[in-house]
Amino acid sequence: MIGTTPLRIISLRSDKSSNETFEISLRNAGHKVTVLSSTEPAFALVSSSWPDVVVFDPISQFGMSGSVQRLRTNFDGVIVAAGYIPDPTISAMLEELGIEKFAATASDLMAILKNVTGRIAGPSPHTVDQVTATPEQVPSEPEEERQLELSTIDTSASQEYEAKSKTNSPSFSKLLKLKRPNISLPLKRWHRAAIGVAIVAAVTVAVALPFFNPNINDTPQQPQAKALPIVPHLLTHPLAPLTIEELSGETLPLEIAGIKDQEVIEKPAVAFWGDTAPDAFVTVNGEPVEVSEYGAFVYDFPLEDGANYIEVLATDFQGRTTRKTFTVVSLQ
Amino acid sequence: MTMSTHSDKKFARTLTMLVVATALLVALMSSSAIADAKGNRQAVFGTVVAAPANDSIDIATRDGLITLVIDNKTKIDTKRGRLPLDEVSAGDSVAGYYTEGDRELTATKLSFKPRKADRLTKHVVGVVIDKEDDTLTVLTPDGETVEVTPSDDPENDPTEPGSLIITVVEENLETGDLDAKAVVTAERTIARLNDAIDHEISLAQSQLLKIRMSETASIHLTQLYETLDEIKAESKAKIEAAFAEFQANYTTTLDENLLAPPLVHITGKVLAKTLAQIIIVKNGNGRRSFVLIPADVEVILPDGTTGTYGEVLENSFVDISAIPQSQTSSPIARIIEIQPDAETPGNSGGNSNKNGNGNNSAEKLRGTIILVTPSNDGTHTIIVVDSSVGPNTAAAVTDSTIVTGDGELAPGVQVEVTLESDGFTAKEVEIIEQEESSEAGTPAAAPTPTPEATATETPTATATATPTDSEAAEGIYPHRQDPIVLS
Repeated sequence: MIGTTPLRIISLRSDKSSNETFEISLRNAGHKVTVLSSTEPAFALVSSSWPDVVVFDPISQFGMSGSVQRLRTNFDGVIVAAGYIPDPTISAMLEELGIEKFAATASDLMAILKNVTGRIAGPSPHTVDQVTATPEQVPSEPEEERQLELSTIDTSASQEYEAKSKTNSPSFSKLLKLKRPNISLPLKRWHRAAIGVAIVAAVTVAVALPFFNPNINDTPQQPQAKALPIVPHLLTHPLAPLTIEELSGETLPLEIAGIKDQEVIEKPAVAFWGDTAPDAFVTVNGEPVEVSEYGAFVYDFPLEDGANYIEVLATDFQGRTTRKTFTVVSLQ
Repeated sequence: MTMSTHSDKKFARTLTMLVVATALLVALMSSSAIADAKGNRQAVFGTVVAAPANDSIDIATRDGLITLVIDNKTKIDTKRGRLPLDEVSAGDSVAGYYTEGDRELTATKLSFKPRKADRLTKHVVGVVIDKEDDTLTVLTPDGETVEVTPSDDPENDPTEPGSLIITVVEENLETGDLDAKAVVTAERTIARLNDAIDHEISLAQSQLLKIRMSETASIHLTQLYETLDEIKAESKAKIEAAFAEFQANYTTTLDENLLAPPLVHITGKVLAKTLAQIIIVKNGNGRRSFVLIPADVEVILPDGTTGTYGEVLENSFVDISAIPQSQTSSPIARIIEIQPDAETPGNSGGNSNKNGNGNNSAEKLRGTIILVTPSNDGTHTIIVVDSSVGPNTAAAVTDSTIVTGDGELAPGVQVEVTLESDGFTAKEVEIIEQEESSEAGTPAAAPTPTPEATATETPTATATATPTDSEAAEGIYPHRQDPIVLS
């Protein structure tokens, strides 16, 4: 076990990878590790959960330039490329993209982490972009990964296209040079004045109404706000198991991350996740939550403007119960 | 005609520009105003110090006392479990936000929760001993019978008599009524763990799941075993049948995972023993269990070492893991664990809410002081405590408060506060531990209230902890940068 505070680490690697060496070493050292393989949930969780360290497999979809750029943009903490890199050009590319820490082996990784201190728990400086994604809008996982690969590949193609457009394509200039419609208004002056006043009044009312009608903001919006684009699939592979010693104590373990008591959140939803026993029964404000075989769970909590009370309750069949409560204020 | 067309065009352009400019101006002004209003918003979390009066309310926060003006635009959250403004009193918790003006802080949206909630969500573990229509009768390990309607979809209800369930219930603390919402059964949980073992899962995690699976099966059978002693004859047949069915299923499942059959746990005081049999009187309820002793029984002494059956003495407390047979034949002991004398173990496998729901102990709060400040009316001192079992909360230390323990009532000090029935006034404050590194008057956990905020207060002596000298007497006012010094 480590002598310092355990770090909360998100490990990003392909779901096809069977190499768990890094995660096992990290967990043996007492760190809390969550492994994610699905692209969109991974980035959403990295953005919303302010982990201490993000570790990614450079030979996976997370090592592609688009993913690295996105990771670098969404996360300002320590990022480590963990894994053997067969081609030095990949290392060069990663360095160019701002990745400074490389760990070929688990011991390299542990050496890097010795110099990392846990960040003060607090809201992430970054926000999750997709806060209102509906199930219909969320593509399936393989599609997302394909889209990511395509978008990475298409970057150069689109730049080339843009360059060509500037030199060859007359389409933009043609659009700009379209003749303006010849407006003819055979009206008297008072008609014009009346119409003008009416239009101005209508525009003014339309623009100002949302700001002055208090009931509009109180109307529940559909669909419900979400902090994560996909929640259930996160549960299939998180890897932050508790030891049997932790699970067999007097207290049922329940660790919550992603939210803290008396937090101010300027978003319409917050995602938090937790670790408990894999056979625990967990409710959030009385609603049952699916717990994975690793004892992990994720909850997307839509926030109301003002005070929100969140109560997480976990119980196992031994009758052990642990309760965590959070009061947060959402400024929307 | 030409002139008219030209004039019309000119007018159209002017009109268009006017409309666009007006729209932009309105949008800009509105968004600017909104941004200003939003920019000044501040969140507040705290404890109400006194019932709202004169359109304002005093709140103790970890950063000090603040007074919020309540006007006709202030929104009060009135959802279930929240208090309307006219029912708010000292000790209730408050959260929300306010707008910071030049001279005052105006409450924008506040939510009040009573210190003693009238409803509590909790999980109840128990055995279903009867099921009629959509109502389950559940026997808890404490011997209580609870009737719950567990599901909105009775046809898809997985429970049956003999099921060990966890149900989430909302209890009305005033009436004791329970409103169940959902249910999970032990057998489904075991099936889920069994499925998970076949997944792509690490070897260590697989072992852990197997252990949990075995433990859950044992707990279920133990609960059923205990239940058979409790229930009436007419229900026994159902439970016995369930016991046999669950035992067979679990034995098969565990065997597939190369695990030993599930055991039942029998805990209590040894009433009598022979070479072949031991009689246990279960703690507290006088029920007796007869357990067969095979020659190879394993005995574990209180110090953890291995012993012999001869060392199991009458009147000692034991925890026996046994292979269940049926209600008519005694279980066979595998392991006898002798408990230390001081322990009086309860019936195993169902220590309900060991770690508790916590909310029933609202009369006491325990934690670290993060703020000490005189109240706005100067009559008492408010301490804000970072509670170890819940959110920050506050209490008022008055002339009547008994303060015990050595040390100073200052930020960083761990205390246990016993509250009066009003849930806010401290009846007793016990100083548990002084923060070793804390320097007098320079609390690290929270800023000391500014002199401006407290300068007009009239100093008042605190509690029965009357300062013994003038220096100590000065120390009770945080604005003087000194901690409270107690006799």
